[in-house]
Amino acid sequence: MKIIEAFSWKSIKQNRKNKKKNKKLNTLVEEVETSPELLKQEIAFKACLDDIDPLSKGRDAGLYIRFNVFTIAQALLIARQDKQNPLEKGIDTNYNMSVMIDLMRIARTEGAAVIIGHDEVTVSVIEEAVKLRNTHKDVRMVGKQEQIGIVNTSNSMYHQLAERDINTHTAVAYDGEDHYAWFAMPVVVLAEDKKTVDRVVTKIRAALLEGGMRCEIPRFGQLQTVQAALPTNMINADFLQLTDRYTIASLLPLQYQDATFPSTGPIICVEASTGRPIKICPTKQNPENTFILAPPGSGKTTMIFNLVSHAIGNGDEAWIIEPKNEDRDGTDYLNFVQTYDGAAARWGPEGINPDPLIIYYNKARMGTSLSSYRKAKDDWFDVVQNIFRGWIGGLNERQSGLLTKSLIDIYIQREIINEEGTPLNTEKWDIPGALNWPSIHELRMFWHEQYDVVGSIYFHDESIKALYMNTMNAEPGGSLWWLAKSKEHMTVSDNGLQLFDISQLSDNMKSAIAIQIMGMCNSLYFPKPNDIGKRKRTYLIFDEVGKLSRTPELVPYMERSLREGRAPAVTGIFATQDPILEEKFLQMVKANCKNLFVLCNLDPMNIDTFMEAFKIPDEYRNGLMLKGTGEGYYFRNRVGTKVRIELDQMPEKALLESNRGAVPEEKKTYGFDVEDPYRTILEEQGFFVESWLTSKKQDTYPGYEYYTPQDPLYNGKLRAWILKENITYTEGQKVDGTDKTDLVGPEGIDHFAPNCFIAGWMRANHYPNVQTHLRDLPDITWGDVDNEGKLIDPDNSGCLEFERPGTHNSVKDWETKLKRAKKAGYKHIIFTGNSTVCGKMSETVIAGYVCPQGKTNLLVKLEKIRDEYVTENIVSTQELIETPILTEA
Amino acid sequence: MENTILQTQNAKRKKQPHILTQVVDPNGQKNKGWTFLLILMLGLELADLLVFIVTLNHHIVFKLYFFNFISFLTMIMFILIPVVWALFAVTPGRLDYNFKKYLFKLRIKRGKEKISKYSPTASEESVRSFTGILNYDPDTGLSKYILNDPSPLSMAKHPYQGDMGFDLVVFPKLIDEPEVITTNLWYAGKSLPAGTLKKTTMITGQSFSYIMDDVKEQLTEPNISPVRYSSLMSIWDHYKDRASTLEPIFLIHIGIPFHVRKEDSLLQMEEIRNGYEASLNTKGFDTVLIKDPEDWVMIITGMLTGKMLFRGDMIENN
Repeated sequence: MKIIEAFSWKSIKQNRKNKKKNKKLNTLVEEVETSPELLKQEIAFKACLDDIDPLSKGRDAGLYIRFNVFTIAQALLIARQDKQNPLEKGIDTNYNMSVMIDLMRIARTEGAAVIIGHDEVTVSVIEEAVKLRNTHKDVRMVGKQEQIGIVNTSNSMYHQLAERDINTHTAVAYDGEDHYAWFAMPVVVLAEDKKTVDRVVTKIRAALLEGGMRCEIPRFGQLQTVQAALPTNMINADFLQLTDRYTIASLLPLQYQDATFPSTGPIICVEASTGRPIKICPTKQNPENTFILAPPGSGKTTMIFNLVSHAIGNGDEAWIIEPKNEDRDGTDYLNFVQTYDGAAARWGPEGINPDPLIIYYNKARMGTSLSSYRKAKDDWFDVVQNIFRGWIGGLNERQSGLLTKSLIDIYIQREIINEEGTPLNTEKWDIPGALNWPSIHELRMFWHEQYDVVGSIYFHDESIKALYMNTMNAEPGGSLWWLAKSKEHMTVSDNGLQLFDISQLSDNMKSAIAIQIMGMCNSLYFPKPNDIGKRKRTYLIFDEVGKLSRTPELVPYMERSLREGRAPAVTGIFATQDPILEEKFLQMVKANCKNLFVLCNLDPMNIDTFMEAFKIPDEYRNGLMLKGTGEGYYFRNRVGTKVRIELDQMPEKALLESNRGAVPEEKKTYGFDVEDPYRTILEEQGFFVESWLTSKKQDTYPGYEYYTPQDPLYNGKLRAWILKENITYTEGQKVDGTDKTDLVGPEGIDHFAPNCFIAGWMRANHYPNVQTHLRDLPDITWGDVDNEGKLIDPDNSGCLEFERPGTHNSVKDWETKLKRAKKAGYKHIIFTGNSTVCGKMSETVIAGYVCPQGKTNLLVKLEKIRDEYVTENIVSTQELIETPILTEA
Repeated sequence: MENTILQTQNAKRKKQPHILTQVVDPNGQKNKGWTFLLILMLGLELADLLVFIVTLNHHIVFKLYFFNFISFLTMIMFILIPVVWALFAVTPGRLDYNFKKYLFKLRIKRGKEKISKYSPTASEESVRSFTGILNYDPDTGLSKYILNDPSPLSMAKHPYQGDMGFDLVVFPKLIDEPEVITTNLWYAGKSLPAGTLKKTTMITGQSFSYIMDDVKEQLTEPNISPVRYSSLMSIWDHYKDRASTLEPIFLIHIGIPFHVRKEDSLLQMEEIRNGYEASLNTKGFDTVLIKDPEDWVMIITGMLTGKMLFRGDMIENN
């Protein structure tokens, strides 16, 4: 029944209808699937470049290809037997494996983008055997042909060599030493111009030839070669050749031989080949301790200060222990410290000598807890002991004990500690002059007056006498009187740049003072107290470590910076001009320094010592012997990168163009600029307003504080910035209940800012010699003066006093100011201020000189004065425009 | 003693490059195509000469041979055939050049060499074949490609027959002697099954890892001291132009041998990842599987325009 239904007319009709419907549906689906709109959403469409255009005309036809209009590319096939020159193999028998490294270096350094492809298709052993057999057949056939005279016998040697080759190949595969795979190596060079592409391709070809390899530029096959280099695309079967897999592996572009450099942190030098800055980036895990080994004059100190400059810029701290200074003969680091607002301690008769008996304490790093003060005190007792050891060449047990006892007694006497040993008055410890710290001279006097007296248990004690006599050079007039009398505190720089100069000292004093310095450096390793924020990283730099390491007391301190620097964020930088260091210390340096810089300029006499000390691979020998300053090698994981030392403008000026003591004459750079008439006010007063700027206003001006005082010449408020270092910040309220204003010198901001603004206006309007004053003189004066300060042209001069509500506005004050102005001979005398002050002034003797601030009064008056005198000598811009230009015609 | 010599020979033998190249006859290079064309040309000339003679004999009685169209044509052809041959196939090199040139022009005409993807005439096939990507599976990273060489020029059957593969970004972490690296990579490659395609690519270009980024960022920090500001400005001015650095990115594409079912390809992918990739990892090469197809857009666009929009560590950090 069902069969009958299936063959019924109705069902046949229905089937036909369904078939038609399906066909229509399939066509629709196909149309949708192949529609351009759908393709556009696919990854293949997105990844395809917009425009691919091969060069098809002229001499370069088929040799280059252009991508997206601006990029031109050329592709090569490497290690390929050229069909046009089949006698030369793709790779020589003894090719140089380092050719790949050369190729990758060219790719990185030549300024063009390079793609190195490496295509390998593995084959089964059976397929390999078939291929080898076929080649054998070919060779044998040629041999037979030769025997029967079909082929010229002059080629027999070639055939013999070919036979030897195929025999070796077969042996390699048969013995399982290696197997074959299909291999192709496309390389693409891309640049914006053809010249660059050609240059890079030439270099690649030269490197290949040097390494025993050949390549082919596939003419009219550029796109296929580029596609072969793309990771996702096909390889033209024509490009593939059977090669053994060891050779294939040796050509893999995965051999990145250069050290990777971090992208953040202070710059230490630049990579010689690319000019790329090399940064060191210490982390919590790796403090990046660094060792710099350099013969004299090769740029070691320059390198250190370059790093310091960048560390300061990076917001880090740098402490430098420098046992020599070349001053203006070479690198003047004292000038450097001055430029970078650092602090220098320079021991010596004319130096800055911190008192060794002042316990060094830095609240910012060590916190304010009592336990920290106690630890600092206890540590400092050891430091003082070691200083005396270094100074007098050793202490016996009794002397050592007496020194400690006397220190305890004198500190108790001076209320620095109590009898329990608890630190007292700790809030004053780091404030100079706040506590009566003993000097060495006072300690010696203490021994003499308190111990070596009748009634003291130490009366006639030989140890006290020995201490006293051995330190006799600290007597007034003695060679160390400068140290003994000193009660100076160690100056700490806010910027974190700290320099310790011991170059002026004798050898034994160098040791003693170096211990004092190390005592200060010990504060860097203090456990982080709870009451301070994140610690800054500190670069602890030991220049001339060879000299320092000869003092045995110093070695443990230097080792500490290598061993314990991780947690307290201390990075040790060690520099020396000779690698002859104490053996244990050298081993410590090797084990803990991640970076090694060896500067060039070595010679056959010392190269072996340098190379031996750090096991430098022999391949760097010739490079290290090159002559020149500021070049060298950076070794990391025993791989060397050639580097160059470069100073940017600021450290270069500070270090090499020493102008110490003089005010820098060059125009300061602020990262912004004001118009010319106002520049003096910016440089001298550290003040500017928005309308003076030559460029668009920035959101912030680092180093400047923003204020909005009253505008004295126009309505509204000024948008003013004042240099922070000139400002004294105030808190609290005045007697009248208003908030105290911040000060610049003795003047409040609301007085200082209008004065500067008026002075700026006057300068812009060509008032002669406009000056602002903070003390003893009128707020603003103008008029040319002679060498003695007398007015040259009193008719074109004047002064302005800006008065504000508050202090200094008594009648007497105003009278005094008027008398002062009249005495100086100013023609124009103006007292200005807001309406309240001007109202008060109008009731006094100065009424005739009062001119309230604002557009309608003060501005009009100043414009009147300008028009009266100033414009006489100035041709207005309008006149200039209107003056007809005379021509020859 | 003999063993030592053999071992030395073996070691030397292994380090030699072994390429199965064509056996060359320097004094008698044979180019079958060129020889065929030469014989063809000579044959045509001979035929032409015969035709000329035949037609000439026929018409000489009427003294109209000069105006005979066929004889005239044969005369022209007699000159033209060698000229054409001399222009296009005088040497095997010239023949090869011209052959490739005209094929190239033909490909341009068919839109296979010159692609403008937004052009209405751009063919779907050309756009697809440029990257070879057919579809991308973001879940597994296993993707389909057009990998079989469709070129009619292929003299041999393409050794790779598969169409599925996956891609890795590689980070070489250890720096070692070239021999050590080569040996490590060679050992790692041994685990690849026959018929696998392995494409390794190194890309350099203008990197977005702007070496002065940290300085630039610090310059915008509020309330930095004037000294720090000046120092940073000095660094910025001196080094800002060094920013374009060339940093290499390493990629590996593994084409899996042909399987009918996707599941089998996935299994094979797992095997390769547990074998070859794991071996690479133990030898100091970190690898990250690319799964996001958008990464490929960035990689390919970046690599062929010289501007590296993509950095390997972007994926590594993900």
